[in-house]
Amino acid sequence: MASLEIIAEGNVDNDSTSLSLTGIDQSYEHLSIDLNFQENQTNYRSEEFRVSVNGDGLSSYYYGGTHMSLKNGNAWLIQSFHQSGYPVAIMGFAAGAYQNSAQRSACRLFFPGYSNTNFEKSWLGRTNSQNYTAGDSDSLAFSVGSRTGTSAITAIAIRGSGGSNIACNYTMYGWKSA
Amino acid sequence: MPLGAFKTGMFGAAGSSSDGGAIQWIAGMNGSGNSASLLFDNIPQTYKHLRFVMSNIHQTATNSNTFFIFNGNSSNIRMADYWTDSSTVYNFWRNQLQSNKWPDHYTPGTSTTNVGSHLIDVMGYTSNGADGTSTYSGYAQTFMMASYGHDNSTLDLHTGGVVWQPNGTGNPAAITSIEIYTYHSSDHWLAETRVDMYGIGTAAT
Repeated sequence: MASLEIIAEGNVDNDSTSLSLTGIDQSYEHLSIDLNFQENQTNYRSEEFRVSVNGDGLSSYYYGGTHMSLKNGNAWLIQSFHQSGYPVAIMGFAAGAYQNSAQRSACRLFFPGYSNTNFEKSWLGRTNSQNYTAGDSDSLAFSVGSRTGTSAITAIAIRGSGGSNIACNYTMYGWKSA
Repeated sequence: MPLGAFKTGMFGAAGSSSDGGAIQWIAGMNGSGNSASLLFDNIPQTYKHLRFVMSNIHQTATNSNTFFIFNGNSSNIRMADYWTDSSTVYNFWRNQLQSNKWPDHYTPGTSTTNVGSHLIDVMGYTSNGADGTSTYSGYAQTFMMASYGHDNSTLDLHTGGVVWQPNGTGNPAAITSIEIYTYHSSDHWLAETRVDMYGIGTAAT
């Protein structure tokens, strides 16, 4: 029996503003997701890469997020927040569709202890959005997100900065502990 | 500290188990609430790399630290930790053999509103560097990421790693035990702290 199993895989092809993973199998200890991701936003070459969980809308949950990013060879860019009523964790930057509509970013998310119901959750991320066409929008980000409340993570939504559709392929893995 | 629950039948195998692909869960444990140690001993030498996943990291002391001990050695370890809180990137690079601490910052305490996660990749940990040669072996490099949050008000992010020079001599040595330790022996891992160890790939022989 494998210790690492694929729970779900597939594509979003510019027909939705988010990748919505629901009914996530709760039989694993940890969860990870690999993506090639792009937001079809034609105004920018890279856009925010955002994660929310459990279908949170304008909830009372506090979301936290911190990412340290290198963009265009500049100094580290830091963004950090904790707030309620805005259930999104910004996990760095991913490719937009400006100038290069075919480019996608390499993104990885890891949710340690996602199925546990005894503690609040935090998750880790990495994104790489080097732009092959123009060298003025490259980004590399390390990130963390969190949410108050101890419920298990049963649904994950991944989107770009706003209302534009996204394109991605994704693979979601379950990590066993036995 | 007793060994964690190990996967049945993994020891003594020549190469990775054939029942589960390239990544195998090897062992896992929770904190006991009365020990400073999370010890993985007798680590199988049949994989190329190791991955540790820690969740719900909590210690009995607030603003303490986490240390790594290889084969019982707490010295001859170099570390690098780039981390950020809310506004600044900090650079802790121990270019002298002076610190086995990682991250170079406090670990979540007992508050239920603290959060902590940790990913640790130990690359090439066997005596032959996992590539079948004796060159470049015994210096298993790690890549680590950690997040520590406090009372829903801060969320720190760490990236970096540690490297251990076996016995301070440069002679190759397999890493057979890894101990994740608190800053003081009187500080303990709480029971909800979870760590799992996975083996990745198959070491060359």
